[in-house]
Amino acid sequence: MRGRLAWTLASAAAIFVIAAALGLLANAMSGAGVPLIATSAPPGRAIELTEARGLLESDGARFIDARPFGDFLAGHIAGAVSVPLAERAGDLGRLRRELPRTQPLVVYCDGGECGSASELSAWLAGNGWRDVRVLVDGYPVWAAAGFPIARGEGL
Amino acid sequence: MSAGRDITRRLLDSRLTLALRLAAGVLLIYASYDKLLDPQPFADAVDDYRILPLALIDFTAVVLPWVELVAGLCLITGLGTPGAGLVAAVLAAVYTGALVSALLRGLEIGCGCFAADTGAQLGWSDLWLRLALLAAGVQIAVAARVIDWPLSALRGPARRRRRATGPTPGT
Repeated sequence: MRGRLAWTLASAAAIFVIAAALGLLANAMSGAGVPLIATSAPPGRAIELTEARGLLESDGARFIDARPFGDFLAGHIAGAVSVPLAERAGDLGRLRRELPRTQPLVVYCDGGECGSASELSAWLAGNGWRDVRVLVDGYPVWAAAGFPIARGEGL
Repeated sequence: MSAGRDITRRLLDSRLTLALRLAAGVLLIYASYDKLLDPQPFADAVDDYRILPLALIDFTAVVLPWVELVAGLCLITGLGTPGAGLVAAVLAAVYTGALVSALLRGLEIGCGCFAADTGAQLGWSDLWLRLALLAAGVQIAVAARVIDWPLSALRGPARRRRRATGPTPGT
């Protein structure tokens, strides 16, 4: 009986060790591998206008509009998601379903001293999104530069 | 007393063990398939449960599908079967705990159990399959032989040949 228990535990441990070794090896060799030590970028890092536009064009980030919904309807960065700072708690479930935590995010408001983008970026990072940055100049400078915008509810 | 023995005998019946081994093995291999091909959505699904620290999420997402695959293959081939049953039971217990914890906290997340990106929301009905796997794993861990069918069948002819020819010299 004791011998059987020892065999059971030993084979279970062997299965785990072999599986872990195979998994780590496959992850290292696979193009779809993930970084083994996940790190969270500090929230609120600034991103400049041209770099942000590059991310929009390469589909490398989702844009998050932190302004009130009325401002979003009047005009927003093309493809942006509206998450008004005051209503962020109610949007959490929707955001979790729609945006993977590994998806880089760029949060913006009206630029300059608006502050809601920084606050929302900290909230998003606190809820698990790993790469959240703030578009320093905000929507007015983006629109004035002639970069892609949309009106209405968007996506 | 004899009724109790009869129930125990039926629960440890080798045909039941075989059926549970094959079912649990197929289930585990099927569960591992999508996660092996693309671990990132599974990492996101693990993250959604908000149980593990960020530093352990990707490691878990990389290793867990391989544990499912290797345990599933062992269950089907009959190699180290009680250990594979124990692994299946432990996996099922961990999944059950995570599911119950998420449901009690009211998290609106996907199960992440099979194809991580199906979008179906986690519900109490997701528990049954994990509980069934837990029961199957325990039965296999208790009742299966270390080398079981079909792998044990390969050893059969060699044993019969040894029996037919008698003990080899020097033994």
